[in-house]
Amino acid sequence: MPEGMKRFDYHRRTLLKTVTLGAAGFLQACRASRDGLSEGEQFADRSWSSTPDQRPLMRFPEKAPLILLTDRPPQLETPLHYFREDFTPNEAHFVRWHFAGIPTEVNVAEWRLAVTGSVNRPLQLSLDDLRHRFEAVSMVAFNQCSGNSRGLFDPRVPGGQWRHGAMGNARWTGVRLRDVLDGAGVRAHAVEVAFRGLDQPPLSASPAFEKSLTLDHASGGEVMLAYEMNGQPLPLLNGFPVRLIVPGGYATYWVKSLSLITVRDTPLQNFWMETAYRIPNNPEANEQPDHLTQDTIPINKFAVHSIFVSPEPGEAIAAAKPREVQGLAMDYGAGIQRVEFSSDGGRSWSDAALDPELGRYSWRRWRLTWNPPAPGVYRCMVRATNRAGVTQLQSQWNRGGFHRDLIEHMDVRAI
Amino acid sequence: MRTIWLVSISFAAFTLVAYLGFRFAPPPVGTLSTSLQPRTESGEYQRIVLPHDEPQLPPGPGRTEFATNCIICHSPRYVSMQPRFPRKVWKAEVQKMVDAYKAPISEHDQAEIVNYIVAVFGVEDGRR
Repeated sequence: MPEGMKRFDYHRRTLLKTVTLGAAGFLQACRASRDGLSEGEQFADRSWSSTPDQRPLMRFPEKAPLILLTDRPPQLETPLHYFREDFTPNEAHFVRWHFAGIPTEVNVAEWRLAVTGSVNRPLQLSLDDLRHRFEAVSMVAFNQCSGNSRGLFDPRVPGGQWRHGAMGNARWTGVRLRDVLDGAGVRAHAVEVAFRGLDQPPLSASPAFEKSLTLDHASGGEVMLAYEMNGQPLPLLNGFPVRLIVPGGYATYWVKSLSLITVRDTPLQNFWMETAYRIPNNPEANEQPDHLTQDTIPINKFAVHSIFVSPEPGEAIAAAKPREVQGLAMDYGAGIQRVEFSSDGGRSWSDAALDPELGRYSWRRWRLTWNPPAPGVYRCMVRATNRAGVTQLQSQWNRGGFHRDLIEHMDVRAI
Repeated sequence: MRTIWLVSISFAAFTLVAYLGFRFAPPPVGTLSTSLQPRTESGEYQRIVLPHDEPQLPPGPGRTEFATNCIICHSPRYVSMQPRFPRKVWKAEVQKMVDAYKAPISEHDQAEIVNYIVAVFGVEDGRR
């Protein structure tokens, strides 16, 4: 690093420290008398392991009150009850950013999406260009954070402590990435396409968030640039004005507030592809806590997984009275073929009914009527299988808390 | 009378066929479908103001180092939302901030930050 830049960094850091200290002091002074809670109660959210969800809710712009994981940058989880709807409302769709420098202001008149790199005709596309120069398409696609359900891994792993709410289902409208790449003319030696958004790391030295797809995947016709979510512009926190849609793939690739698409002749080698978001190189994304594998790959397609939506954890139900049990099952696009339910800890299983499919890349709702015969605690479990025969695991763990495909259980009390 | 019966039966048959067609239709073919006319707004402008709700930092050794280094970049909730991890996990997390995210934290401050997190949110030993 040149000497001048070093000095600049030093001064900037000192300034930042001073400002931060001042701001922190001010914020704490403001909050000292708040709520009458003790310091410990205000700070640590340690009630976490109890069954009902008692995590705090917080309302962000354009969003409903969502479960607060972190406020800067925002990481907000969707409360379970929203999953009773087939399409997650935009205001309830989960939020996850990596760096505090997230876009809070976009002037569409000035916003441009650059398409550059190994192309014959570099492009600078406005939102109107996307709307009018390319065919508009729409698709129902399920979106899910790589670390969804991380908070349920045992042993626990560090990272965003999500339960099952880092996911949502939406109808996305926009254009095919393939059409845009065709417009730019991809050169013969290209192998990958990389994506950046408007978010910025807080330090200039931090690795900017950039993800890549293989050229085959990017130009396969399914990957989209979406400017609408459920018929509305995207909330800023979900990637206004345009985000990448990678059907069947984890949300780490669904780059938000897109600004730059680079066609590459070499694979992207950065922190976000080579170090972060990696899973053990086996179909189950499984490893042992005391024998971590060296063989890892970038996370890619969604796991086969299923969850309970109703009853909710901690909800007591009536004994000797039939009631509907329902939930959601999801995979990477082969399609959910079967969902089974157990109320005796996995000793016996019965088939749930599946709602009609909403699209190949949608989640799929399952339901059945269950009559707990007598008062007591029932260990309920749910297991999905897709059309490729892929099903869920009895035990699964990896150090990143990624790619959850464990069979979920819930202890339901009948009274 | 006969006409009414015919009409009723036809209607029932139609309803049944329509229902079956809907209920047992094959999965949608192709995942993309052409949407309605694109909308043509211009001059759209989006601006939001982010709220903050950053928790208080309980007293403890290394609190100043934590406050001056860590919360420059992120909310303390990144730490407070975690379960009580042992020292070795927190040490690795702080090291990741330095190695991966290039946080300019001196070795002295790194040690103090680990001490603080372990004292307030962690445990010395234990399973991860």
